[in-house]
Amino acid sequence: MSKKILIVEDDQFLRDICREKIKSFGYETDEALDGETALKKIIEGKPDLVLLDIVIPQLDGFEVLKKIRALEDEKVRRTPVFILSNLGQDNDKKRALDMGADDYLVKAHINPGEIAKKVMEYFKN
Amino acid sequence: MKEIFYQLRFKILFLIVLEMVLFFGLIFYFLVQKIDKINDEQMKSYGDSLVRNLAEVFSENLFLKDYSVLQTEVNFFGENNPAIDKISIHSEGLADIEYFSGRLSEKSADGLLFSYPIIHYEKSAQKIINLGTVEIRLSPNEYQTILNKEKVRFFYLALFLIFIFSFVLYFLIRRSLFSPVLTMAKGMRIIASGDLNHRLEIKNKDELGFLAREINKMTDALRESQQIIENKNRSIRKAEESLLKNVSDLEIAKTKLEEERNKTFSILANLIDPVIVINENGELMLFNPATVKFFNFSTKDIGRKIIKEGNQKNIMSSFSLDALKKFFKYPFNFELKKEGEKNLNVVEELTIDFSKSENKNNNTEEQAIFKIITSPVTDVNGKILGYMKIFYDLTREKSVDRMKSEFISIAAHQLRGPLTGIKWSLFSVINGEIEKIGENLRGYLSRAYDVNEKIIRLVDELLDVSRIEEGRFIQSLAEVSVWDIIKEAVFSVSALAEKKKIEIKFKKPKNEFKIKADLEKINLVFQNLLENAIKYSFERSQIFIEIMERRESAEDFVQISVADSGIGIKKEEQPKIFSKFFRAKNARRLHTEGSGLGLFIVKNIVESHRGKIWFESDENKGATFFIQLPIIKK
Repeated sequence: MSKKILIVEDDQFLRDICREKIKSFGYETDEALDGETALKKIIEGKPDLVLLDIVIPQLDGFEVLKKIRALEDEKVRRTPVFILSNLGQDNDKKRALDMGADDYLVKAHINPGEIAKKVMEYFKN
Repeated sequence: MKEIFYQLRFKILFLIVLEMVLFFGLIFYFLVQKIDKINDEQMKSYGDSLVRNLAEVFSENLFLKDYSVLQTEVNFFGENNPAIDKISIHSEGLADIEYFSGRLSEKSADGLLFSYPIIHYEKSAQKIINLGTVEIRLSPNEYQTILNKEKVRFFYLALFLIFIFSFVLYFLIRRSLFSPVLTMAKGMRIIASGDLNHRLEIKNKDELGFLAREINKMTDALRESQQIIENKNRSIRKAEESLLKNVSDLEIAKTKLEEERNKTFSILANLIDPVIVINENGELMLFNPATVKFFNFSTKDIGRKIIKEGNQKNIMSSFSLDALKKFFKYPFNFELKKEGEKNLNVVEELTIDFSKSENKNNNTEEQAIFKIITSPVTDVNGKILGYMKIFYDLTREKSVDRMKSEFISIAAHQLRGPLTGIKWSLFSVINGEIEKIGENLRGYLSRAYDVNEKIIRLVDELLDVSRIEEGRFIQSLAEVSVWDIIKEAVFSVSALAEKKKIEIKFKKPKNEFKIKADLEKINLVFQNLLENAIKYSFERSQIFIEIMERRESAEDFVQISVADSGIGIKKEEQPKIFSKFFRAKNARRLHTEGSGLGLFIVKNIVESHRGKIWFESDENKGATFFIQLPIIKK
């Protein structure tokens, strides 16, 4: 059974490219365009990993992460989350990791192939 | 002076008169005596001449033998001459013709009888005929009377002469004595009144002249000594003047010093930056009003030891914010930035947090940041008088710095997005599945192209902003039609509007409005407004553009409004809409592109065209932006 990856990104183009690449690595994908939908899909859909952008409508990425990490349901609470963002200062990375993110990726510094590789490596460990 | 003269004059006059009277009296007496003496002789000669005269007078009538006439003549003479006692004419053969006064003569008739023959001279015969003799007898008393009359006459004459002489003498004395003295007195008065150049002009060569000359000499001497005194006075006065000047210079210097001191105090008092000064013993000397905003100092604290006990050598480092902690009004943090070394000052940085304090202050700021420099205060010789702390307010600088870095980070972040798009596009083209490449190639590349355009736009905006800051946002003005601009702007956003199915409604106005504008910039303005309207509107909504004329303070304007019914602008955020890096929270949430520069640039352009821009809006009720520009009247 292939892993399900939830891609939360409001820019359609980027979302598409990302989705295609993840799919090409053999994963299943789902998408959300805003924070509310993302939260819903995490709680209900229980993805195996979430690629989470920060600047999204309604709830932003950090808020979604906070909410997830505060849930009762242990499995959902511990859903792996990679922050995918273009906010790239050191303290943002630290903040994200402190909040419970599993990794922090800067979109401008990475390409979709590398994202997929990171996902793969995460599942290997 | 008159009185004196009066006395002298009369004294002398009196003496003269007295002398004259005596003199003349004496002379008169002697003369009278002489008159009396010669009385007898005179009488004799008088008698002789009289009888002779009578003889001559009577001779004619006697010759003619007019005896009655002769008698009348004889009576006539006798009566008219009181001195004659008796006249008798004796002639041969004739009775005596006589006159008799009737007086008894007191003296003996001798010596008083005079006779003379009466003769007649006959011219033809040249013969002298003796007719008779005339005899008179004089009365001495009567003669005396005549003589007395003469005496009286003489007396009066003498008196008259005395008076004349006295007057003359008086005038002579006056001239030689009184006048010179008077002149001298007048002259001396002039001299006494101060005119030491005046000289007595007395031409007399006598004692008075001598006196005048001596007085003149004395005046000369006086003048000389006065001159000397005057010179001495002058040099004293000069010394006095220069002394006074020195005193007044000192006064002026003192006043200037006071002024300087006051000026310094004023400067200190008006300094916005807090200043605290301690003396060499660490006692508080001075603090300015600005200090009291942050420190609990009062005048009672002057002289109080501020710093902890320490070496004299270390007073400056003891004079730290730590030592001043107890006076702080608000919570604060501070940091030592630079240790004081020889000749260098201590630098500390202080952050005051107003929001966390119980003391509510008037500051709208939440924070204040100060750079504090502590330095020694020395006199001209380098001796240390004390130490000074100056608080430089960096809050604004820091906030400007913060805004700048915020701007850069926003700009950078905004660049990142599109750059990521291009990157991932290219990646896909390079690394994508072969099958998929063909279909999507154009899509990927044109996406990259679009995104690249966005980057260029962003960079353009950044450049505009920097040009506005530098004042290089120069315009090239031309006469342009408002209608043309609006048309162009609507056209340029038509694709964008189409995507969201938004309709832009606008109508050509009755009048043609022309403005003087930089076409490129004005286009930018309306494009921007329309883009915003579209960006923040919901799908399938409408945007209305209205163009109308407006008159304000005697000038004519065109007013263009762009109204949408989109997300609107929250009241709290409305004040900052036009500011440089601002994007409203709801706009950011939409994650629509926007650097926050657009409206800043738009406002700048409008205002440099002497126009106005403003808006009306409510959250979720859309926004209407108004632009007013001056029109060119035909």
